[in-house]
Amino acid sequence: MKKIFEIALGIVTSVGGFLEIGSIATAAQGGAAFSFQLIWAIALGGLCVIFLVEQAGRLAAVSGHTIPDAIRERFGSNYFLFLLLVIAIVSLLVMAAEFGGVCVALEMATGIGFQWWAIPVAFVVWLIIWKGTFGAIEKGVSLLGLVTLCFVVGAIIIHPPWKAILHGVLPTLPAQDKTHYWFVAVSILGASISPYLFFFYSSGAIEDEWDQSYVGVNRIIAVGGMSFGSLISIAVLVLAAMLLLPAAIKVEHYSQLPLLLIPIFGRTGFWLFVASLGIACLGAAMEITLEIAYLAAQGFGWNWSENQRPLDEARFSLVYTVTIVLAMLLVVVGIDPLKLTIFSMALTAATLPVSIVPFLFIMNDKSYLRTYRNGWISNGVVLLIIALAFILAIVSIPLQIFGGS
Amino acid sequence: MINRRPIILVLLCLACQSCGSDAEKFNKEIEEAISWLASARMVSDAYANGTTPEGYTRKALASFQNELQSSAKRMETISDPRKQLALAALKQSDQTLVELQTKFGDRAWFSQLNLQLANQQTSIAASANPKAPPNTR
Repeated sequence: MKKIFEIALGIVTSVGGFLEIGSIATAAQGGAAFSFQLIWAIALGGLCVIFLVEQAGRLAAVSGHTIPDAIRERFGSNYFLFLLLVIAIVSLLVMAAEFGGVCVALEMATGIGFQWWAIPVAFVVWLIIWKGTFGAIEKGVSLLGLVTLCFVVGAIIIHPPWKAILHGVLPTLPAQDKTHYWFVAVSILGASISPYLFFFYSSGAIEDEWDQSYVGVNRIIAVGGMSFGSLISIAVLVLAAMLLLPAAIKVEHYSQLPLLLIPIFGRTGFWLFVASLGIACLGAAMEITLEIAYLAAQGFGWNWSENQRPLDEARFSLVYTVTIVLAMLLVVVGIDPLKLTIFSMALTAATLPVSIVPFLFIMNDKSYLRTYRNGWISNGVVLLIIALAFILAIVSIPLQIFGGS
Repeated sequence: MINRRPIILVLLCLACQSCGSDAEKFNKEIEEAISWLASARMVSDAYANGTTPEGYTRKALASFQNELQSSAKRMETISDPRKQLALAALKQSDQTLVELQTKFGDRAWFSQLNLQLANQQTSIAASANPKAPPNTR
């Protein structure tokens, strides 16, 4: 009974915590520009994340190691430092984009410019992490994040052409604007296969004290949570395709995003959008903040746990404090949150191989996983994800130059 | 000896990017302008119906107007015979957007100005393809 409850809670928190500014912005851009044609990118990203998250959780449950921890042990400190540098830079940009998302939600609610909210939002994020426990942060914010299901409700209410949506699961090329099409596809994949997602998940498994008996639970949560999460992203794309594309609106400014829900829910739609954006980005901002601190602490062998007192893990606490200040500064200087989001999603795609290649070695290492090593299906999928990661790494920057808005 | 071929290729690609034909650039600007106007129309329509708060509407309309002005500035640098018509319509839209931002609180006026924006959007779309009937919502 306890396990069933944990599975349900795990799926619910994964669903509630899935959407963030990257997935909202990229899915909306995709739908507004190419109708249902880019659903395949969300589906592919979701599939990759299911496998990576499942493996991250399995590693933590069986070996008691998180991914960064295992990477440092298996690949040495030089590779780890390289990984830390790359992931920290990319995560910092993504985190600033999430901070920006919360600030934009507050701007929409109050009419006060988003930059003015940067310091209060940073303080609230810091205070919650400083005072809160892992469970409170993970479950509390993710449960609130269930408000993002309003996108799914909206997509159903609008009666979309289901056949065309199913057709969108298969990749097709647009008649024109191919470079922009691939740029948005890469950004969607970058938003879906975010390293912070599975790094954070493996640290969370340790925080929640998972052991070998959680291997099955982990699998169900990974498959259920990430699939339903991807459905929310698809719903955003469907709404953009049904409401913005016919009006000839391309998504290039965050002020256009509430138009995804206003035509369906009216005034409530506006506030649902503001709540969805604010809560989803707040949750993601806290997860990324913690992920950077986890990464540094696990790699350097410091004390780390969101459940301990900050005094007992001063260096861990210092890392997240400094990270919050840096991300806040990026918002204070007034960088457009939507542009920052799109850029950071493309950059995430460019750096994927650094964090995904080690999976193949670690997940086949007997000393970590004993009888729970990857089977041929998992290895095959990881190999495909690595191939995809290399392709994304090669094409993302040229596409950013030629296909970005 | 450094292999310069990749550098030359990259520079060529960058040059190609910056020298797309004027007609293509013009059409792209028209698409952008229509997108900003359509956004402004949807937001002002929502405000007129009492759906969006004043703070958000004010900020959104100001942003769309800025983007529209940038689009007009870029359009001025393009040598395309169709641009005069488009620029004239853009100027009118700019004035309508300015007027909209002085009419907060008067939702009836908003509805009326929104109709003007719709006509201006049609004019801009028509300027891109003078022979074809305009296709805007």
